[in-house]
Amino acid sequence: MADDPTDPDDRPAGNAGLFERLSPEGRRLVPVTFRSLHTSKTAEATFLRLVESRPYRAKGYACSPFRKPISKCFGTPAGEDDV
Amino acid sequence: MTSEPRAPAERVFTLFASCIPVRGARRSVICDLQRQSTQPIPNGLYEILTMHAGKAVAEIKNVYDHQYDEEIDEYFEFLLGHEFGFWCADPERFPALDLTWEAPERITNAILDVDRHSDHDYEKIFSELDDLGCKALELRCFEPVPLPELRRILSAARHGRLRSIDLLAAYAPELTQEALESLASEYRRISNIAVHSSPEDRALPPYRTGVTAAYRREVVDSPRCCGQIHPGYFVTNIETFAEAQKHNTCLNRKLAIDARGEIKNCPSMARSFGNARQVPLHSALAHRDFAALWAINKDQIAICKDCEFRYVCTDCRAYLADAADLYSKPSKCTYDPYTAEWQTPAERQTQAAAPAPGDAALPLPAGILKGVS
Repeated sequence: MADDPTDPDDRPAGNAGLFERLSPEGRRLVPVTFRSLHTSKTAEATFLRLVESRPYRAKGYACSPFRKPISKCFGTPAGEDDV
Repeated sequence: MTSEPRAPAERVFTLFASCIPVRGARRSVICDLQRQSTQPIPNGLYEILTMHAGKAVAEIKNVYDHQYDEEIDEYFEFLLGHEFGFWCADPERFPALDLTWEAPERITNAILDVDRHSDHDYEKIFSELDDLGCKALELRCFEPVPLPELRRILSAARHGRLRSIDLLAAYAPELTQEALESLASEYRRISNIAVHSSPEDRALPPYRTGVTAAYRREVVDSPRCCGQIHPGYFVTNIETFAEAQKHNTCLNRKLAIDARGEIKNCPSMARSFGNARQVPLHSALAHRDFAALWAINKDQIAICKDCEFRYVCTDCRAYLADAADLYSKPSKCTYDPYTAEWQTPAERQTQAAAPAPGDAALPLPAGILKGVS
């Protein structure tokens, strides 16, 4: 595919070796971000920062608890708030 | 048009946008949506923060004919000390939060009940919840479920869009601390595990992944246990606070499947919209009445509408003080906003004839200002 930045022939020269530094998962997930940045001078730094922060973002996004109780079955609070 | 900046002496106290005062019948609260806390305040202070917002202190003292200058100074010290706001010369530059609530998911949360007679098609249920965008599930097991079966259920949810699973399990000796930790580690969508009917009350230290788990003595053997209202179930965050302005914070965007597979708004309710084995969840959701209760907000509910906790309370529409009145308060709520006290039903009856107690427990004097009852 011509616009696939994971295609070695389509990578900007300044970013040579960038993909090799990523995990297999990183190579699979990153193209959309990369595509929007790859003409920028700061592309590599921005892109790597995004990749490196992914575990933290993923933890917050994919596994965050729902922020209110779904059911309310316990009559006594676990740690009673003083209100 | 930008107004002229005020002189330092005319600076006004401005609440942080995330600190929102809510008036109750007897007292008010400041809901700090950022720090997720609820601070009781006297109604007199609520009056200053709302009716006299944007006025300099001198103006406010003047309004009350300088009868309460000391108390007003004390109020502002209290607000500063608790970091609820700041002095500024241009309060118009700090607008209120937009509390419009929207969610892209057709269903945000779901309950799935399990007992020994349950015969759910878990793959089908989770797949259909996925199609509705459901992001949070509570799996409630009223009776002990063997670990392999629990794993089978959780495996069915492994590849969906669920971001969070709360597991309520019945105690069995095999549910050791290690077993719970192993479950949480194996199924990363689990965010909380509560084991009811346990021999002891014991909260486990949070796991490295942030999952919380606890053993509870309390028995949860049927949906009838649900609907409890107490501060442990209050939620002070922007999502719930905003949702509570127009919606019911328990039922809005919720779907429940009871132990028999019946699709409901809540497992404690009688009305079924079909059995999940025969009826697709989206068909049940399309029924005209399914979303009817979603719009009952706390401002419409008797007594709750006078409660200072109305935007942080997660309500209950299944167990009502008056079963015939959809707009009556939750029957399991023992808080009386007219006395600002939590009571048992027996205490409530006893105190109904007695004069209202004073506000000695409040951090500041209440009702000292004109026009405050």
